[in-house]
Amino acid sequence: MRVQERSEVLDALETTPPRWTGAVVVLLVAGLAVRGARGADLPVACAWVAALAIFASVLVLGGGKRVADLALALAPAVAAAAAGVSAFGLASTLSPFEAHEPGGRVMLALRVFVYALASFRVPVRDGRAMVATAILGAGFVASLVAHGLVVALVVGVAIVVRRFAIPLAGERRTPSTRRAVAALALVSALAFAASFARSPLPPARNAHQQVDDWLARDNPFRARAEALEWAKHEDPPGEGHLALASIDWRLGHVEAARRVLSKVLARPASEDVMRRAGELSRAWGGGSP
Amino acid sequence: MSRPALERAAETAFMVAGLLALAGVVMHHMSILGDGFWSVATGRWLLAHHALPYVDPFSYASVGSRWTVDSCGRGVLFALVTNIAGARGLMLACASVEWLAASLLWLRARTLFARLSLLPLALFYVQVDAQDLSARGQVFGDLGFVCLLVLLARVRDGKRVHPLAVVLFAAVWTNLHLSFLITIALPLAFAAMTLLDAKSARPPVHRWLGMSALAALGTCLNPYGPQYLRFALGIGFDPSTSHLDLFDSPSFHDPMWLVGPTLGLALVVARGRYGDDRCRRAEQVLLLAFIAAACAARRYSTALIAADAAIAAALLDQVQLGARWGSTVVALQAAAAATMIPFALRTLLEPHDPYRDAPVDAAIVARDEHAKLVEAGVMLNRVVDPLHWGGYLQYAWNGDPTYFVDGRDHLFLFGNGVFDDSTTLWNGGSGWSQLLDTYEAGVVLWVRGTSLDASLRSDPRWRLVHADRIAVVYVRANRPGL
Repeated sequence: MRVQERSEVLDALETTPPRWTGAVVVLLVAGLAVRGARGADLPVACAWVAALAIFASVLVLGGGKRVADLALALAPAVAAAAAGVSAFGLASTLSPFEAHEPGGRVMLALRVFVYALASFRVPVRDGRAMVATAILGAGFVASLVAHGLVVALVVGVAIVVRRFAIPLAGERRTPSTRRAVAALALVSALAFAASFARSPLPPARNAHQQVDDWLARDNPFRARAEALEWAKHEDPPGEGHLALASIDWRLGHVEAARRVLSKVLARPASEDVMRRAGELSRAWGGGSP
Repeated sequence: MSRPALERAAETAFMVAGLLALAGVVMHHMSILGDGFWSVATGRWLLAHHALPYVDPFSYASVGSRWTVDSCGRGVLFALVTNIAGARGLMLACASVEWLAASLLWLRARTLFARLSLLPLALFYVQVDAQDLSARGQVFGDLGFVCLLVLLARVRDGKRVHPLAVVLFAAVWTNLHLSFLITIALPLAFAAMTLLDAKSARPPVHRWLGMSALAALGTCLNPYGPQYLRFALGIGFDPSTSHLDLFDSPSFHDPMWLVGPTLGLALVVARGRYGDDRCRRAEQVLLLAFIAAACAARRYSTALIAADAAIAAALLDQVQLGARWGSTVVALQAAAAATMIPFALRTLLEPHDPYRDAPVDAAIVARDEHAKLVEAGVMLNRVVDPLHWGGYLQYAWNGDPTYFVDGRDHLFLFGNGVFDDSTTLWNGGSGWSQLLDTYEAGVVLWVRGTSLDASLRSDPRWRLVHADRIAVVYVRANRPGL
């Protein structure tokens, strides 16, 4: 029964090495092309994840012969990587785990989840299973040192769970194991890809909004700096000068505020600006803020 | 000497040596940094005014009208201790609190073998905490967490925990450190975790829920009442908090940070096989949760070591050594005592200057230079300082003059962009010059050897007026108007 199941799995995965090679190369080239166009590592990461997921599937479900096929299939990728490691995102996979990296927390949750899966599903009295789980613990720690090794951890958990797991009541073993491996590979791929995501830049804001924002945040110093830049580009003096004068007054720079206001009163940009400058001038009088 | 007497002597020597070693390591790393100084200064303000402040009199750049004091009780306590025993007394008091936390952790183990095995972990607990160890609220957070683990263990074991003790415990913690929220969260989380165990292997869930509710009640006993919880939650869960260096992942290329997770993962496996059946799965999940927390943020590494130690103590207590190991354990205890006592005494007797990390002389120079600029009517006259020295300036200057930033609270007081700008200045990135102009800096009191120091040194618009072991003071060479 087991031989037959394995045979079915192999049949499902059966392809020739050139086809694997082609798929991997196409993925990498496509990834590089998109990366060049969009300046992001995400497609390259996806390509690597796809290649590694294939590797994991064959390792778990196929056996030794398929591993050799995959090694051959991955040869172009490895050769390309040797020519420019960082271009393929490999350098970053050797860096230590950092939760603040995009997707970092998801990857951490994945590590904990798969380790819990292995710890809770292996029989506690089985010495070999204990050793296997301890090795997974070492894999967990290794994946903190070089975060790319999380893929190896996931593969290791899949192997250990498949070999040692206590079947749950009523479990149909083979299909559920296959689904579990597929789900783990998918989650791993998504989480790994997410770790390369970049958050978009906020949209640019105009000077008026910036001044208002800083004032709303109760930072008159920043608001003044924005108002000063705004005023520098105003001729004749208008809203920017009025904002600058008001903030100077608030900061206690009485003379500077009056000086700016006098410029507005002398040559206002509009009737409205003239009126508001007059109101400020009357309100300030001869006093201080 | 008879054999039992020899064993008792070895045990006593070992216990004394262990406690001394913990005290020595704690004292070796103890210092007073910004947080300690601003706590003292704030406490002095509270003692002088007998009221809660709303307007910040210390910093010119903060959101001046929205000051909620973080941990009033700690401020008052620190101020009282400093007023009575000086800064050195404050160091000693805080070292005692941290020592108590480490000792409680160690003494969770009951058997000699367990204590012998657990002592290195207790010492390592202090070592891991060393980077952030100073006279500040964190020492109360560390002690509170260890006490909370003890309370949780009592509830797990079905022992009686007086409701008033839980309320008082939470109230005291709330007034001493912001980490008090865990008194509510951890029992709730552990209640959820126990649901993974068989019904026969867990205490009734209502006991955890009751403990959490009593703790919630206790947290309301503070000068701000229940709304202080909102303040703490805001600080704790705001995304900006996770960007503080304390909440960065540790550098896993340094093996020290791998010890806690490695031990935790090993204990997850060991706990699955050994020890009491009660709450087995819950304790495994608890360990995994703290492993995740410690991997995500350096701050939780001590909590992970504490959780590791609590689980390890229970497992080690169950190890039954054969009679032939008895003499080995005695010999190991004697050897450990002989090694540790000289080391502990040496570290305890070494001089501890409470101001070793404070810019004492530079602060005097900076204040004088600021006064000169004000007297000369120069408009760019404000003092800019790094965040971690703001606390000392609050302590030394008491609001005259005001300064740029300190470490009181990055979200409400300095969440107006000042915290981010201070980070930019600290990193010495581009834009430092514009930032100094923006905040109308006339005097810069900074850390010697940093990139901003190098930038100012090579900039003809700034003049170096003071340099000592740790600090530099620069004044604007030209004095433009605004």
